[in-house]
Amino acid sequence: MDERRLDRRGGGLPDDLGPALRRAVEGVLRDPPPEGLTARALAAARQVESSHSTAARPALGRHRRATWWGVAVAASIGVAAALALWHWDGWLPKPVAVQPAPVGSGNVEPAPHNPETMPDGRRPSLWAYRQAARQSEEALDEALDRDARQVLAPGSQVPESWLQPASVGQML
Amino acid sequence: MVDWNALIDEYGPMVVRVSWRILGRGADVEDNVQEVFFEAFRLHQRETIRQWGGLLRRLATLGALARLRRRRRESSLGAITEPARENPPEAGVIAGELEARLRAAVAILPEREGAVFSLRCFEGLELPDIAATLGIRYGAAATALSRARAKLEAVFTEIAVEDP
Repeated sequence: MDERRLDRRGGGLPDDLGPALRRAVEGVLRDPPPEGLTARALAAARQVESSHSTAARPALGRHRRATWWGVAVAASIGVAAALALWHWDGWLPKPVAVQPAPVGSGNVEPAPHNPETMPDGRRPSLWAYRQAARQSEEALDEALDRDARQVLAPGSQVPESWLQPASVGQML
Repeated sequence: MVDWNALIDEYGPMVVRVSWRILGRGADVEDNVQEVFFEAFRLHQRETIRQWGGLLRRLATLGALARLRRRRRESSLGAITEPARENPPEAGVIAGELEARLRAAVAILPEREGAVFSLRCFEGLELPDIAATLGIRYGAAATALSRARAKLEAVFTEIAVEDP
């Protein structure tokens, strides 16, 4: 279809239009666009290219917002899961401050130590005691005794009363 | 790559003219022209346009008719569509009123009939060109034109118009 040919036609009315309808159509064809209308309309049309690319940006913004929402939700779920594990199972090691044994009649010198670590560098933990308690009371007693011995100076004797409580488990 | 400004220079006046003849109101024409080129640009990004003139003419016609229908719903132009029964016209109906009645009557036609009538009577296209522009068959275009003309004649036969 040749568009230039169509534009040159200028409009030919069908012959069989009634007089009133013909006159109305002729009135429409006679009436030109107001002064400046074409220029204004075409100026607005020239902005379409830039406004179209601008209109595309909100879609990209929505996509990015959705991505960030996804990341935020995933992070929240991860943090909640970590807190739940920590709360219920105590999987994070909890340092236990082991106080030096009370010095009795002066025959035992407490070894210098860091209250948070054993002399061999191991960190006693509530978790370790709980594990031992799950095995047996004897295992727990043994763990406590072992840690207590290490607090004392090498070669010193632990008072008998410390090593033979009725039940350390009952004490806890 | 399409030179957008060259495209507007070549086809813009045609789009303005089509919109003006259907709408007859400057503000609506400006809006329609902008929408036509916006839609054309969007289509151009999705697919290759081979007939820019045909596409723009179709978009301008259908867009203007849709806008004309919206305008009729929003305003009280309904009273104008049946002037003969409610308000028998005086002998000297002014031309502007006739045009307004024609536009109001075209607004109530089905979309295809309105488009075919506008392209035939306002743009002077022949039926094969109308069918190609609207992407319909020749027979469908002929049928739509016949129905549109019959409906519009029914509206205008009761209007007494004195020959100048």
